[in-house]
Amino acid sequence: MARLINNIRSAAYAVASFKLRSAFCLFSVALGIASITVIVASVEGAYKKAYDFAEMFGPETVLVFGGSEEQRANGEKMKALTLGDIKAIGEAFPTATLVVPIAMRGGVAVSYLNVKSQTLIIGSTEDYARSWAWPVEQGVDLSPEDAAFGRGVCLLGQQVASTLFKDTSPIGKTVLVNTKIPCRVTGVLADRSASVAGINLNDRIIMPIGVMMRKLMNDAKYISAIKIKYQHGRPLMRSIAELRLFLRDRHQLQEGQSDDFTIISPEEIIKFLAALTGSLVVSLGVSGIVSLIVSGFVLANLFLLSVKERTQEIGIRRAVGAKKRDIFQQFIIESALLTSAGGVLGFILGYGGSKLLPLIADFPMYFSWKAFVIGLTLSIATGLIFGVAPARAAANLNPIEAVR
Amino acid sequence: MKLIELRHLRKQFIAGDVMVDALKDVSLTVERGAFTAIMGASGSGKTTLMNIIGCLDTPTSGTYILNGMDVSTMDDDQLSAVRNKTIGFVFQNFFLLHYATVLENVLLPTLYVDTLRHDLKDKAMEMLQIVGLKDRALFKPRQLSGGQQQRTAIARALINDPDLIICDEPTGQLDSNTASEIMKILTKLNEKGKTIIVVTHDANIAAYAGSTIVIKDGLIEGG
Ligand SMILES: Nc1ncnc2c1ncn2[C@@H]1O[C@H](COP(=O)(O)OP(=O)(O)O)[C@@H](O)[C@H]1O
Ligand SMILES: [Mg+2]
Repeated sequence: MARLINNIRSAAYAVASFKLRSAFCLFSVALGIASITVIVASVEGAYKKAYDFAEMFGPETVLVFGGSEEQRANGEKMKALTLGDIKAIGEAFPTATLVVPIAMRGGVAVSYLNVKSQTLIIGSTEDYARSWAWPVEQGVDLSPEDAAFGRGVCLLGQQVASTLFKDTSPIGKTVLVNTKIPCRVTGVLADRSASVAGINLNDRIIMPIGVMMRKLMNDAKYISAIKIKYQHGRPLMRSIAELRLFLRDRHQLQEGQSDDFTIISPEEIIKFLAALTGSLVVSLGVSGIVSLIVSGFVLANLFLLSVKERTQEIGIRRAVGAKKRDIFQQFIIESALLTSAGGVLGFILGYGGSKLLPLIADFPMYFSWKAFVIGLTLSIATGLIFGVAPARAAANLNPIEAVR
Repeated sequence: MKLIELRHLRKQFIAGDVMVDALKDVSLTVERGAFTAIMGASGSGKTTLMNIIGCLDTPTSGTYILNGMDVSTMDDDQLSAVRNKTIGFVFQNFFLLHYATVLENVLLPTLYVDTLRHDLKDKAMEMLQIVGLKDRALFKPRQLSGGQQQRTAIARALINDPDLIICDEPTGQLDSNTASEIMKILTKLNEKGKTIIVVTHDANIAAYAGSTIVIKDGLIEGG
């Protein structure tokens, strides 16, 4: 034990003394670890964002869009879902506790007194906020009566509220939608500033779907989407499968015909977001590992060179009683010390560098002890693996050659 | 009492495709407390003999008894332990660590002792006192004269309190005044009971020793 401690001290002393060699090793390892730190932080960031979004989406809820995925991708009108579907789903599935219609129209003019703006109008029911697990922060939610009687009332998203009302309270005030539909504000939704794929969730107004369909959509038959919340405890995949068959049947789709709707669940959103970041992570990951391996070889070569230069030192240490094991330990510890210091430096570099990345692209990053531990582990492993050959060469030097 | 006993020692080296008999048949004994000089021309086998006596190398054949132990059959780890405990080395080229201080150089052999001791620094200062270098403890070797570097090496050789101190041409790099200073230190150590072997080709240096062994072409003359 005393010997191991002494060997560690010898190693630390040598690391501090051979400054140029140490600096080279340190920086070459630090670069590799920096990129790995960024990768781990990106992976964690992507997953955190995906889970945050799934949380926002609401667990055990699904969103049904009108139109197949191809149709939606081609920008075709999605005339598939109706208010009739809502009623039918509600009656057919007792486990569907909330079945909420969603009608949407973007870029609609809104004004309060002489302040004007444009926003997304959503027509829905008193269950909208609840189905999205989206609390009403000021005022109150829409009431069942508001929805049932098609009253001219609305909820504001945070951004609309601050644009139209600045610092004053919007509750009880009446805004004009599309220049002619008066809506009294009953409440303001909580902040949902974490934007997903560039969509700002705070920029919207929610009003009873009856009012919206009549006055803004010319009594159109079709709605954009249905949000469904299921009872807790039943596998969501099963509910989705049943819902799909039910809707196909209701829409009289023949076998072989593709769905005229798309069902989205939180799991799918997580998968989608993970896949989005996946390709970036792979390319970063490959370059990180490659640079770490390169730095490992740099290290091994510098150390082999150093063993040659320090032949005399090794001979002296052997002459005064160092065993092969002592020399091996000293050199491998020198290597591990340098790479772990490189790991810490790399983490700092990666952390600093990643503060710059989001300025270039909307790229979520999340630093936790995981990024630090993974980086440090990899760097120590690099030192141990690539330090073996030089340390063995040092240990096996013949002492009489070394003190000639 | 014998400290060293060599019986029919042979050492062969393979240099390229020829065998060199560096030591042919060497038998000798060194009494505990002796001060022995080994003389001989360059290439006669002095360093080879010293390396074997110093347990840095092993003989091709023959027996070496040190302090009652047969070291000719020991493995590398055992030899390392013997060097650490029993032998102090002084080399022609001093062989100090240049990045370490004088004090740290003196402490070097203590790094390879299994037990932890806390008075080592005092002990090292004591050794530096013996060689007259106490005030240079925190210097680096490059800041010292040749004589001072060799005195540092002697302090290092003493730190683990060995029975035997072997010196391979310890004054080879020094002027005659400095050389005699070093030899006086070695004489003083011998008076205090250390067994000392000095390799030299200088008769003036050999004169400090109590007895002289002459080696020629790997054989001891008159032996
Ligand atoms: N490691 C070695 N490999 C090959 N030959 C060696 C080696 N060491 C010493 N010799 C040879 O052994 C002989 C004795 O060398 P050495 O003991 O160094 O003599 P000295 O110290 O008296 O000058 C010389 O011929 C030398 O060339
Ligand atoms: Mg010699």
